[in-house]
Amino acid sequence: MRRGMRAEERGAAGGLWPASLGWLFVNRLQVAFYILFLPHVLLYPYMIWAIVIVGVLSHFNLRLLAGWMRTEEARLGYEGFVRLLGERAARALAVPGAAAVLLDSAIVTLDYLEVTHHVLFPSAGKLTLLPLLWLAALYLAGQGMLLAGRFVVIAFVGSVWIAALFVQFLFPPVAEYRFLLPVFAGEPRGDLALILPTVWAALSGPQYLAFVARRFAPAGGMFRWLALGNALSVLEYTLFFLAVTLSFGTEYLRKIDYPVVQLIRYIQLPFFERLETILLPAHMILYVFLDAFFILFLRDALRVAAGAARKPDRPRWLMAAAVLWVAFVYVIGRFFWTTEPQHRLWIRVHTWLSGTLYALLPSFLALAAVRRRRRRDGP
Amino acid sequence: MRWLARLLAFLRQASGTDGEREKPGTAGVPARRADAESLKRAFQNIHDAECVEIENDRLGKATLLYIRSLIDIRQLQEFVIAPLQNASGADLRDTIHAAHLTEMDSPEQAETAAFKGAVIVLAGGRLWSISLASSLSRAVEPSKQEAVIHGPQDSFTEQVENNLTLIRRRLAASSLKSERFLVGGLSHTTVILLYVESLTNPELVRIAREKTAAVRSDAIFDSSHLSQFMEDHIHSVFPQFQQTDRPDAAAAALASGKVVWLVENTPFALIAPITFFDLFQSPEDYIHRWPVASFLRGVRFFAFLFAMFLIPFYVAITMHHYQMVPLDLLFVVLESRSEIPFNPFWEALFMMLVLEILKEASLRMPSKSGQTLGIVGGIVIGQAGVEANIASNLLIIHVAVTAIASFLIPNYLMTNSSKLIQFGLLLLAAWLGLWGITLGLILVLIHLNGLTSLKQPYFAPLSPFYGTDWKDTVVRLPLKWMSRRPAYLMPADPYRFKAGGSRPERKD
Repeated sequence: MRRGMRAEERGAAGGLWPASLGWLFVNRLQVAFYILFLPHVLLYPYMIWAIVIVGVLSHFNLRLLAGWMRTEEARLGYEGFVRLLGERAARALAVPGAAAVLLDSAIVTLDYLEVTHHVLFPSAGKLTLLPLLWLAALYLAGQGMLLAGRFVVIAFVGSVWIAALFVQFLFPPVAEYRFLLPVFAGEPRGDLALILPTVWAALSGPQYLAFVARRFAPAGGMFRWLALGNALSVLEYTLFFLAVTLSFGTEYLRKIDYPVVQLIRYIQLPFFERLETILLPAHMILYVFLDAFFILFLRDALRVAAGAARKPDRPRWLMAAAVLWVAFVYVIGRFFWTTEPQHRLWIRVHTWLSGTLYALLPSFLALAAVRRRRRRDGP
Repeated sequence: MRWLARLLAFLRQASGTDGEREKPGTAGVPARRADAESLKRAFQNIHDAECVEIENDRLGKATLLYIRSLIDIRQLQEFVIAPLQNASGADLRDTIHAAHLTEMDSPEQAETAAFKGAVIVLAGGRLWSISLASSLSRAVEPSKQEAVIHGPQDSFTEQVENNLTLIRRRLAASSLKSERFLVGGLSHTTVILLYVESLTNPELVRIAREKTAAVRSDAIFDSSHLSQFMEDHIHSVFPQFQQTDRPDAAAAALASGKVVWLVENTPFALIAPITFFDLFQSPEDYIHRWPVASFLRGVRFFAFLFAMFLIPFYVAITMHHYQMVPLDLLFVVLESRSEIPFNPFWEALFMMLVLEILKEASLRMPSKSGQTLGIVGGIVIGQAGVEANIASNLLIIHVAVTAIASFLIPNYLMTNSSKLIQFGLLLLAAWLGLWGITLGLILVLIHLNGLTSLKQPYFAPLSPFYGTDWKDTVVRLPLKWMSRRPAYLMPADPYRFKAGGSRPERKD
């Protein structure tokens, strides 16, 4: 490598993601799905502490994840997992892994389509936009994991500005600071067994980085970047929660769906109002990125499960993954996501699935790597 | 070509029989003998081809072959014919002291040289070429495509050697390397590949060299032809090579670690690799004060977005999202559109097509008719269109603003690319409103994300992200702060200068 080049530049030159991209991955993976409806789950002002406390827990979890990403096994990709778990186990685990990816991505996508249908196209079918979303995601996935990963910068720039629109709701005359009371609860109300896992699930998403560690340039300080992304997510969730709480108050908040979308309707510009018409399409960039990312994960999982991980990649694997993905999303949306209770059930499924994966995967992999190292080094 | 092949075959047969000595240092090149008759046959049906035979006691018989319209007759007489007639030695090199006297290795080479303005001399069984091309060059004039108010006013011409001179005067360094290629089986166009050896990424030079050598075409008449054979993505609407007629822009590109091609008979140099953001930069950006330059660059980006999105946005709002328009403004929109029989999509499509027709017409028609076109386009079509209820006042304003905004993009190829994207966005806007426009934008961004120019990322420094390169992308920060060359180019020498400034010139 040439003199004067920084670590990030060396990474990009070698066809890798620089470590500094880690914070963008963490942040966008965390906020993509829950940012629109988390405030509706939290309801009570003192739940702001739930965001902070769970954010701290997530911080420690990311330390485990960064630890795993530093290991030799993580940097070897598939061969590293084979070394860790054995080939048979690695292939066997790829099947539930693929199922989890499918389920996760299907729920995320369908929820976005549901909101879009509800707010923008109430007269059109809910799944009308699915083929277009799929084509865009497939186009991105077709560029390969390296370029699809780089797209996170564009996804970030294309969606982060939305948060800035909500800052005005933190100040009077819209903000009613009395809605923030009691900021400390004498006796917590609400279903904590639902709320805390939901906040935890809202910070999930970075667990998928465990499988793409080899794509990052081997620079130090990975945890620092992951932690930065997590801190930014906590900040964003706090901002959105405060904005809707100060504007609507708990009582009204419990009566409305998607308070974030509802709140933005109050912004009036000289030329435009009803800015949710812009917000929801703008949010799509995150879903295109996520879906492309998930399709590529699915492709890799299918290849591992089929024992073709060591063979050269072929476009048919991507097509197979993409078709399987869109078929799965369509079937769920068409037959199992037709009523509001079903909708709520799927959200709950996502909360537990994504939360569990985020809680267990980094620690499982880090522990397995430590055990293997101890076994290898001997007593 | 056949005549020379026959000639060479004859010469090969005859070699060794006349006892002429082998030219030192050219082992393997067979001796050749001129044959006046075959020479004349080769030039049949070329009315300005001439064949002159000169007899000299020492040199023997020399046959000159040239195309009269391509060479300087005065120089031919002075530097070739007269010395041959008065030759006192047996070697042609002692007789003719022309700077471009070259021995030809093959008939193809000789043929190409003859048709590029060289005189072919067949003497002593050998083939020589003497470059005496007549000068058919226009003067160096101010740039028409990238005109600036301040700064250098010279621009490239059709003469590739002159263009090389203009660059060499700016980069007077031995590290500025130039490699010559002949491209086009019929046109034999000279292409010169330029790079600064000490700082350009060797990998870039290798790719550029390979791509230039791999061009397969019968004729290359323009640098844009060449660029289309070298592009990484032939179906993209985005230009992957920057074309400039400004020597200072080409020299600046070389100094930052890029590669430049000069193409014969083209006043436009090619620059690569480029990024999407390079296409919004103007040479004047580096002449203005940095806050002014940054502001103007920002205006250009804004104008580009305006040119692409304004009309699709209008269509999306008026067809799908009336609720977004504040009530006072909504009355204006409704009143403006109340008597238009078409929906906004057809109205906009019609007016956009009219605008494109007007733009094309203004390019093709004689300049003296331009005023008429202005009247027909601006007054007749615009005003009459509104009065005939074909288009609304509001849309005419949108179309006018779009047209003006599109002229702010410094790169002409980029301006044309944005038109095509605009039509695509218009369709999506009519179909799906703002969601459709956003989808179109995302597709464009994905496309840009995967695009490369000379195998380097086209959307850098955004994707991949290079923090230091943002000093000269959307804004232009002080030149003193730009000590590093663009990182996405991976230059061999990443620094333009070190802190402390340049060394004072020695006076001893």
